[in-house]
Amino acid sequence: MPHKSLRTYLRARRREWGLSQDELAELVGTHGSVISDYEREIHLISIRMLIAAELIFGVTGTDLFPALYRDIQEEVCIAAGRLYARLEGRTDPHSIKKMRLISGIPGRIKPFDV
Amino acid sequence: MSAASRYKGLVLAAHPTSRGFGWVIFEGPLAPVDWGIAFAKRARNQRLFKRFERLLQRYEPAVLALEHFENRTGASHRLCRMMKHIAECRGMETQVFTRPAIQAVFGSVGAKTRYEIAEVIRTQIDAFSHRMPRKRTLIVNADPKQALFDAAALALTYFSVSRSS
Repeated sequence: MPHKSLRTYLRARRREWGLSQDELAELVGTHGSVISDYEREIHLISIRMLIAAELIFGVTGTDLFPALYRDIQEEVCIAAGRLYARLEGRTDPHSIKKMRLISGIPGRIKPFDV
Repeated sequence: MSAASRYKGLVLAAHPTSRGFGWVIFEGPLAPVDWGIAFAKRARNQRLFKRFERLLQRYEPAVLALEHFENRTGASHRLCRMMKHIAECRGMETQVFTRPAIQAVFGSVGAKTRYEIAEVIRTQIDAFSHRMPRKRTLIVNADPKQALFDAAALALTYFSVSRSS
């Protein structure tokens, strides 16, 4: 993962292509003020915005919103550790299956430098 | 999360115009992340100071690049001096480049005038490709968009100089 200086690259990508907030909002199906809120991180981006932005700019969500991905990864990792600790010691098939899923999470983490 | 920890290593370059200043923020030599032209007709200094401070608050850049302004006079001199002062107060690295220093960087590709340098930047940075200013002549004033490219030239000079040193 290359070094990232910004938490969100939505504004940078939009301006790179000369789109106004209203034009991007039209493409996404929302209002210009919502785009402004996303760019200033006043609101958490919606799934619709994420999918639409990936489609419009042809880049992945991790490239557009690196800090969001990193923050969610950290939170999920911490929660996974808590759940794993609770399951540890259990020998029933359900718990073993869950522990196998959770123990694979660290290997799926993408490194971020935001 | 504090603003200071949000962004790192950004370079802000600013260039004054008759009514304001053009600015560009880069995170790498060919990677601008935001840019614009600030201008004010009334309460010029006050509004431009606020605009500049908002920029610093939003991006927390690490470096401010300016063109040598000691031989400028009036409002643009005051504006550059104020920018440098605010940046230094915030602990930013400030770099002031002379025209010959900028021309030396772009001279290798045969660009010498501001317009020629803008042409080089336009071809190098896709985000600026549709913002080319009109050429200044004896009867046509400088396009405000020229300040955007002048600021970009300062940032690229900073990257070039810091890479070579």
